[in-house]
Amino acid sequence: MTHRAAFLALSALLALAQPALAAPTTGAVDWSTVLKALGGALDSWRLSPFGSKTPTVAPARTRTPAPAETATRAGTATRTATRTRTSTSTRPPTATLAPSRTITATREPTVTRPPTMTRTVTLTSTPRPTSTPVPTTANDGRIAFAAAEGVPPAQKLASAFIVLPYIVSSSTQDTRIELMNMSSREIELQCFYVRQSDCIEVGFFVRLTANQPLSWLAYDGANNPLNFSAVPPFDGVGELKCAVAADRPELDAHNALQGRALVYDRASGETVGYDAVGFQRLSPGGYSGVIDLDGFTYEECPDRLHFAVLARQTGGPVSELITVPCVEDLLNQVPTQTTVQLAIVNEFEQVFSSSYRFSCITSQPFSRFITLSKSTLGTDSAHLIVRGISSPLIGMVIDRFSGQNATLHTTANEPFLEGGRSSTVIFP
Amino acid sequence: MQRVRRTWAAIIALLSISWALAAVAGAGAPPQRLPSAVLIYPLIAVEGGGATVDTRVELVNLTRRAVDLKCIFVPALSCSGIDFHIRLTPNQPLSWLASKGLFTTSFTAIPPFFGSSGELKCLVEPEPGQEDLEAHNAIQGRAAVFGADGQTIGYSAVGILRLTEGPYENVFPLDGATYTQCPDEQHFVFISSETGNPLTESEIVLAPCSEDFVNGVPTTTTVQFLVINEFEQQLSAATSVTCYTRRTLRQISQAFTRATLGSETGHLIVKGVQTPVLAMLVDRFVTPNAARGTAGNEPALRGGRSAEIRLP
Repeated sequence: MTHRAAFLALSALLALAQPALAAPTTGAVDWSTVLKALGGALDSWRLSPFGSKTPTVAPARTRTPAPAETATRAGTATRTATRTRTSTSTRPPTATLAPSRTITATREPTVTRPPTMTRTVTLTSTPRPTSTPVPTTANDGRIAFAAAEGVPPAQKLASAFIVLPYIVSSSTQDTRIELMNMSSREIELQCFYVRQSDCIEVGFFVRLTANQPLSWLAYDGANNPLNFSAVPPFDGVGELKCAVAADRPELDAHNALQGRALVYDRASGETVGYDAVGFQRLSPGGYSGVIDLDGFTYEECPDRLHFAVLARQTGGPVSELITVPCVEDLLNQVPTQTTVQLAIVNEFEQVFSSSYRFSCITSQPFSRFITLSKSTLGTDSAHLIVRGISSPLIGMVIDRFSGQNATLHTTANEPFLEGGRSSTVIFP
Repeated sequence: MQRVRRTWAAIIALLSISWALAAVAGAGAPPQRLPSAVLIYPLIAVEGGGATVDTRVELVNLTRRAVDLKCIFVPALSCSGIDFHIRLTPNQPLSWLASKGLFTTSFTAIPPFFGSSGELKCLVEPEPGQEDLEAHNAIQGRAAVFGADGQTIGYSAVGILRLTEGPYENVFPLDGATYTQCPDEQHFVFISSETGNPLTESEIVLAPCSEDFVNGVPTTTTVQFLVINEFEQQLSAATSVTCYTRRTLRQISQAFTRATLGSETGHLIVKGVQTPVLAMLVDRFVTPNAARGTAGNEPALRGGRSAEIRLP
């Protein structure tokens, strides 16, 4: 992808440099036609030569108080490649850009503006989110029907940072945490449990030898003095975050980890097994303890979580929605608070909505939302779309339903991801 | 004039190279949990007509357009596909019990699944003229296999993304250019089984990525297993799969038992030889109070290899 962006930048440069070179000798070249043809040719390749150039940098300058933005742009240029898919639709206007550069230049960006708007990224860099009514202004508050910006993190790949959003350890329940090193080199992990009750973190280091699997029970912890791994016991409900503290800047030194967890009831055997949410490192560099999920250093946090859920039957078992904010400052121990919007679509395509506010970590039973009951929805299953306002979210649903002979069934329900938003996790 | 021509030649050359690189960029493990064009459910199980074991299949349309799907059940025993069509309205969720099937007035008619185990594949069929990537990459799904004994295996379908615009065809090249590739290696963390305790016998489900339903030729491949214990010691095993198989880990090798492995958990790497395979584990274990626990165990993916699905 990086190569592609480089080539695009090169070709754009070539095209731009030509008038200057050609002017003294050949005054007869119709550059507007050439650029239009170039635009068409590129369009047929589904590539945007102006993706990085379009930045329409000049207008953007007039528009937003975005000195930082322009800076980010330059960095992003390498990454833009990923955007190719999205940018395609925006292409046509760009072709016109060259001829009418002085006149229309300011117009065009206005059309392409939405991205910049969602470029609320500025907000994330200043993590004071209150002024983020992005979904509301953009789409009448109906989060189900507007296209999400950004790129979600690709899952099930070797990652640099993983989050296990649901860890339980009590006298009746326990969690087996499983990690594996997917690389053939030794890696060191910096991990933190974050407890739901007081939002306090408990940190520890784990060292995994090449390809090593490691598992422990949250209730017991683990201790291996030979490789400097000492996992403290955990008590309560919470989450676990682990980052690869790479000793080399290369990407393969960062993207090496995967994990999962099995939460079970000791007496009934009711089990919730799920995979960690993984974020890949995207640009080489050292590990600092500040994990910028900005789509440049690490993958962004998903903007929306989509679940296929079963509607709650009256008197039936109750499913739960677990949400954890992506933004987390464990250094200053400032718990993140956010409002969560829910859009619920039934099988007849009718949309219901709901919302709640939480701090740190939360587990919301479906019984709390009347819109998730079968009597309201009218169908067995629903499409649940979850979006955090002040901070993007990570989450999962614990499905509970009655099976044959009214037996209770429990299983994890992991989300499908849409869009991406920037956030930062700060480790002490 | 010559300069213009030279510039054009340079630009075209640059673009050709970048296009080639773009195609290669789709190579590798398929990223998961994104709106996809092809879904593969590796485990659909029905026993006793649903009274003993049944599967709830769930699908979601993640776009604001109606989506047509062609789906195909592949029972392990016969290895012959049973196909059907589904239409999902914008954002529509749909779920059904595999033992019962589903019939709606919106061109959706899903037959009941016969055969104890098998897989399900669903492929997006965009309408002619609407062949952009969003029209292809539109769906996601999951399934929950549940039994009268209380065991529940929930998992997400494996998603394959379309990478280039174009019409729906009956041949699906999972080559990293048209669609994302099939995973080359699948990495699992598994719990080793205790000898003599059937409640700790984890299972593995294996199905080849390449399938030819046009000629009804079942794909056969050798599957290699590399097992690494917590002491970084490596053990290996291999088996052969035709069409589909579901067996306990101990049936494949003693390397999966605690007695041989020497540690509670192991790192398992699964790799198809002739063709890449899709795999999934069913974790079985016993809690300290001797209760039985069951969960689906989905792999982490590494690398990609090309495969092809041919539909009638």
